[in-house]
Formats: sequence, structure tokens, C-alpha cells
Amino acid sequence: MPPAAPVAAPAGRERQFLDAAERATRFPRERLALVLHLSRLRPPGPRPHHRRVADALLRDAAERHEGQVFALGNEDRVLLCETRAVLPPRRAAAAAVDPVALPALLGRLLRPDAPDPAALVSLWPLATAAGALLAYAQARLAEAAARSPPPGDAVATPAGLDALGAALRAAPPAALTRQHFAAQLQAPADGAAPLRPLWREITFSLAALEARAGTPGQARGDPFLLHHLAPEFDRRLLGALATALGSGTPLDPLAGAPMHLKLSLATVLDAPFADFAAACHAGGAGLGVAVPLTEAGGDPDAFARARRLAATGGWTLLLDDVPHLALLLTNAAALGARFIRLAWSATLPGLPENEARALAAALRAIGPERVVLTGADAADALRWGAAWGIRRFQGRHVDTALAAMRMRACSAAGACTPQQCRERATATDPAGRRLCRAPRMLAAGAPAAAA
Amino acid sequence: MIASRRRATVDPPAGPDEAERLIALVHECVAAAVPRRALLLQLSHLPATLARPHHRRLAREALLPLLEADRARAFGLPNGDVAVIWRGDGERLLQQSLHALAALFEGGEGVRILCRLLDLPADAAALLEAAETSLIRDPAAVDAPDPLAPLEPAGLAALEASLAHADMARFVRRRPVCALGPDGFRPRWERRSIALDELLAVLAPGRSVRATPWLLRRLTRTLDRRMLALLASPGELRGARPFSLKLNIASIVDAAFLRFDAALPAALRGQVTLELLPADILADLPGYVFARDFARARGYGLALRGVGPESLAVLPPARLGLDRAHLRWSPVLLTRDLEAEGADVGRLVLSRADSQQAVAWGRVQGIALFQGRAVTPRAAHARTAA
Repeated sequence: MPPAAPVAAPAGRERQFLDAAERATRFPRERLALVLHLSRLRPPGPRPHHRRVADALLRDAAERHEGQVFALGNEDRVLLCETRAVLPPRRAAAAAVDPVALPALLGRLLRPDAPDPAALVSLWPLATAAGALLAYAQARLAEAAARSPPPGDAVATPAGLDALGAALRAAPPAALTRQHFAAQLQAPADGAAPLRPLWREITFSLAALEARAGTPGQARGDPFLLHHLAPEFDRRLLGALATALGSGTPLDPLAGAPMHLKLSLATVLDAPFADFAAACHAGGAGLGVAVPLTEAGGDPDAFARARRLAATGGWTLLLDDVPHLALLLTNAAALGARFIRLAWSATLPGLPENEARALAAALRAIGPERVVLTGADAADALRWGAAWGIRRFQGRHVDTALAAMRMRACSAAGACTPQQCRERATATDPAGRRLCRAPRMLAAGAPAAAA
Repeated sequence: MIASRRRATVDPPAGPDEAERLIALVHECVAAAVPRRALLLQLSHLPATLARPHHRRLAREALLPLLEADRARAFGLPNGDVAVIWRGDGERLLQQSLHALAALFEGGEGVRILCRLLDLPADAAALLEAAETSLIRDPAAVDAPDPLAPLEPAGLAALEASLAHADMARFVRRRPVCALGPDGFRPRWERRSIALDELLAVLAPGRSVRATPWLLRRLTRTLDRRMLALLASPGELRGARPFSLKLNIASIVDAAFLRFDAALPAALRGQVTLELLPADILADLPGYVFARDFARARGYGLALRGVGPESLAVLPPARLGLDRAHLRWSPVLLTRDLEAEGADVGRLVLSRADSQQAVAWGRVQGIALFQGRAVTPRAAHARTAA
């Protein structure tokens, strides 16, 4: 039987697969089925490259083991083949095309995107597990009729970027920014509030920009295009912040908690930022800047220059967008940032033992006091961080907890809800805070800090 | 460290590298407590009427006498300022230069504003600050602006479209990587890449892609696909020697790569290395791990490219699961001892080794693989001899 490209006829592929499964189970000796459950990957997976690579690996195994590959409508791939090889390997090491060894390779490749890596591949020798294969094939056929086509990945185009750029230039910066607090988890013995606001971070809301441009998903579809936009946004933001100095508006660096910004490395090395930092310093306002790891690690010399400027200019430099993988694969601490903004991920509590050990060693080397756990949108992030000695957090859960603290202390809270209080604190446009009667508390983050 | 001394004119190379070299030298002076003197000529302070190119050139030429002082070195800073550092008694030569400057700017008052005399190590902080400040990019800096207009997103779309029909073969370049052994250099593999500047001069004349680095990164994905398609074309790799390719991470899991992989002759399996950029790896680490493990399963080698010594400290190749790193030569390396800094020199290729100085430094460091203009002739000779 010649190797076949994945069968992908939209209406009949499950039927063809069931037919092939029934034929194969009639002569089950020395035959097996391998099911790669791409449908079990964490959304937005499976991505196109997952499909392409899986298809290539399975096709090679099919070629060598006289088999056939089926691409099912639910994204799963099935290899039906002989257990022994009929041809020598052509494109890879033998292990990479041996159907019995393939689960290990596929599991390693897809593990970062699989909530349960052990459930990613099913290997059924037909002599003993023909029933499992047939039940699986029948279930896929039954569900195929009710399924709509899978959504494709957003594709970014230069033309879409132009639309985003135009929207960026047309919108007032305050309409495209949001404010989020970082807070420190207090020890229970302190008897103080559980969270203490550290700084307010002014972030750029990509969703707000895309909504204005009418191009949802454009920027996320291509990180390079998004980076191309960053300096222009930085310029506009710094201009707005410089104008707001001393104005008492939400974007005033002198009003409220210390201000942190997410900026590109090029912006930090530019003269307008130096002027802005000097103005903040002169006004006694705390200032921090988070630079993405992508840029800092891509140009450590430039990052070192930024670090020296921070030291002489009296502002704080943070390393932003640091996934836990970066702590395992790189020596990000060598960049010398004051704080490392570690991105929370739901995979962190379930890391394999060897990765958890390596992460613990990396965190010890950095010092958990230098880590800010970002994306802490729920209590499990705080629990995980606290267990690792991390005390600084940022995310929706922090914003919500601070809102609850404000509500308890605010005499004007009246009919406000915690959600309203959180959203008003997030707004950087004065209109977004219009209905709050204690705006100083919003700027400070918490009642004690506002006093 | 380069001693930027000129016979007829003072025209030190200007830019961030020079500022970094100045910073390194000042640190050395402080560490060794070696007394030096420094003159900082602050051409960035010139009023607009006196800041024309010829004023700047004449001011730099006024420093010529001072460059005769013992161990004198000139550093052109990115903002147009020039620092000269020398050792010992150079008072007579200093006065000659100051007189020349006074004559140029009609009086001593202007010169006092323009020139700062500093003593090292006591005034190290002031000189470091000047170097750091010069690194803050000013739109009105004296560096000549790029005469080409930057490429805009719409232009990128047109360029990507035109690439689909361009003959890429004429833009492909092959540069040998050689191993240095007891009998000289021997070619190990060749780096295949697209001559980007030549390609753009044809397809986007008058436009600068380098002025928009992130659009350039996007463009390289399209170029990757074209390069892979070229390599996958019938007969292209017949009899080919081992080679390496610069690729984006996303390109390794692209359909074009899979077609290239399917077309790769069996003799070349295990003989091809994929070179990756640090920023590309860091932009999507899960994607990198996926692509890395897939490439490994298909028998490809993997290397980091375009890195300096600081990058090696942040991105150790072994920790990333890479076979090699291409360390880009720069005179700044002369002050570094990689092994003492913990670098795994056995994994390094010294690239852009265009001078014997670079090769000599690499040998001392224990680097065995080289690529650059200073290496190619010997490699060709070794090939012929073999």
C-alpha cells in the first residue's frame, strides 16, 4: 500500500476512516493504530504548524511501515500501519519514524500546548485493542455531522497594520491605555491589609486599538508587525504623559502611586524618554519601565545601556513578558533588571518534576523578591506564587482585591459595585472615572495609600 | 581596542560601539588606577550656525596634534562629540590643539564651552556620563540621516508580492566556515544566505528596510520561504556540501520547510544546520522548543547567530539545546576573556573574522571555527591542497 497524504475530504473522511479501521481489524496481526489527539491541545491549538509537523512525522512513519494517515474533522490524526518496517528510514533517525517510538516524540513536541500530555497519543495494537479503535472511529463519525469548520488563525497583513496605525494616530492616548496595580502580598501576621499597592502600570490596550480600527486579531497574528507599531505608540504615550505632568488627571505621573510603563527598548534610549524621566525625577514621582525580554535578550548591550541610564536617572528597570520557559532555557537574570515580570500560566502548578526543580533553582538564583508574577487573574496564581516565595503580583485578581479594599473603606461607595470600582480604577480616561466620588483612592490603589 | 589615529584628519569611527569602547577603557583605567588625561570635544554643543559639516571636520582636525601624545586614542561618540584619551605629559600638544580650536571658533570663551579637560581615574564618572549621554539617540543628532525613506507597511506588502516572482538564485551567497587545525584552515560547511541589501536595491530601490527592523524581520519570513523553495527545486542540492541556513523559527514548521526537508538528499541528512536569532527565540519560547525538537528529530543541527559576548551570558547555547553559537567579531572582544566568563568556547564559531586580529584573538580564546574574509583564502588554499 503506498503512503497516502492525510485524507481530508470534509464530508467523508470519518466514513473513510471507519471503513479502513474495519478492514484493518479483520487482519489485526502485526498492525497497530496510533491516534494523535490534536483536539486535546489547549486552545488556540492546534495551530497550523502543529498540523503540518504532525502530518509530516506520521506520513514518514506510514511510508516506512506501509500505512495510511487520516486527518479527522476534530483535528485528530490517525495512523493505521504495520508494526514492522518495510523500508529503511529516509528522512530521520529510525526512532522518529517508528510508530511505537513516535508517541514519545509527539508528546515532547506538543507537551507545552497539552493540558494532559499523557492523553495526547493513543497506541492500539489491533491484535488486542481493535475494539478501542472501532469505538473511536464510530464516535468520530457520529460527531462529524454536528461540527462546524474549525476557526483559522488570524492572519496579519501589512494593510491591516496600516489600519491599526491610522487608528493609533487618531485616538487620544488615554482612550487606548489602561491602569493596573501591582501589589505586595502582606504576611498574615502583619495584621494589615492583605495587599499593599506598589505601583500603577499604564498599559497599552491592544483590544481597544483593534476595536477602534475594526481589525480584531490583526496585531496578535504577527508579533513582528506589532513590534513595528510599538515606537509610535510609545511616542504618543510619552507625549500625553508629559502633558499630564502636574494636571491631576489619571495619566499624571505626579498624582497617585509610582507610575510604571511598558516601553520598547529603543524608546528608553531615546531623548524624549530621558526628558520625561528627568521631569518625573524632579517632581519626586517614582517611575519604572518594563522592557520586553524579546528586545532585552535580543540586544543585551542596549539593555545594559538602559540599565545604566536607570541607575543614574533614578528610575526602575524591569524585564517584561518573561515566561517560565525563559527561566529554564536562558539566564535572564544576567540582564540585571531590578525586577523580573514572570508571566503566570495555568501550566505552572502541573510542571513535570524535573522542570519544577529547574524552575525552583532559577527562582532561587534570581531571588523571589525580584519577581513580579503578572497575569494573576485568579487566586490560584497568588497561591502558587506565595508557595514559591513570590510576594509581588499583578493581574485582574489584584485589581479586584484592591477594589474590595477601597469599597470597604470608602464612605462614598454608596451604590457602587466592586466591578465598577475596579473598572474605574483601570480607566485612564477621565470620563471613565466620572462617576467615582473618591478619585484619589483610584489613583492610589488602596485606602491607606490614598491617606 | 582600535587606536583611531589618522595622518591627515581626525575621523574616528563614530557610533554606539565607539562609546562602548570608551566606557570599557575608562573602566580599565579605574580598575588599574592608571592615570590618563582626557579631552572631551563637545561638538554637540555647537550652535547651529557653527555646526555645519565643515565646522565639525575642522574641529576634529584641530585635535591632530594631540593625537601625537603617548597612547592617544580618539573615540567618536554617537552624538558627534569626540573624546581623546592619552597618557603622560602631553601639555604642549594639548595646547597646540586648543589654540587651533580657539582660532577656529574665534576666541577662548567658545573653546572653554566646547572642551572639557578631565583626569582619570578621578573624573571617570564625568567621562562615563558623557559617553552614556551620547548613547541616548537624538533625532537631531549629527549622524547623517539615512538617505533612503523607510519602508512602510504598504510598501512591505508590495515587496512581498514582488518577491514571489524574483529570481532568488542570483542573490544567494555562500560563505565557508572553516576549522582551524595544526595544518591551517579546512572548510567544514558553508553558510547559505540571501544578499539582502542587493536584493532590496533591485526590488525596493530608494527604500530602507533596515530603518524599520520589525518589518525587516517580517520580510525575512518571506525570504525564508523563497530560499527553501529554491533549495527544494530539482537538482539544486545534488552534490552539495554540508551547509547552514539562517531561518526564522516559524519557517522551520512552515510548509516550505517540509517540502525542503522532503527534497533533502540522504547524503545531506544530518549535515545541515539551522541558524536562529536570539530575539526570534525569545519572542516565542514554546514555539522555539517545538521547532527545535522537530528539527532535531529530522537530523538538523541548530545554532544561535549574530550574538555578542553579552548574549552568550544570557542565552547559553547548551541551556537552549543548541549545538553552536556564531559569535560576531568586534574589537570590543579584545577586552574579553570568554572562558573566564564561563562561555563554552567549544561551541563557538567566530563570524565576521575579517582581520588577522580577529583570528588571532579567536585562537587565543580556544575557538576552532571561523568565518570571515580573513579565513576564506586559507580555506580555498586548503581545499586546493587537499
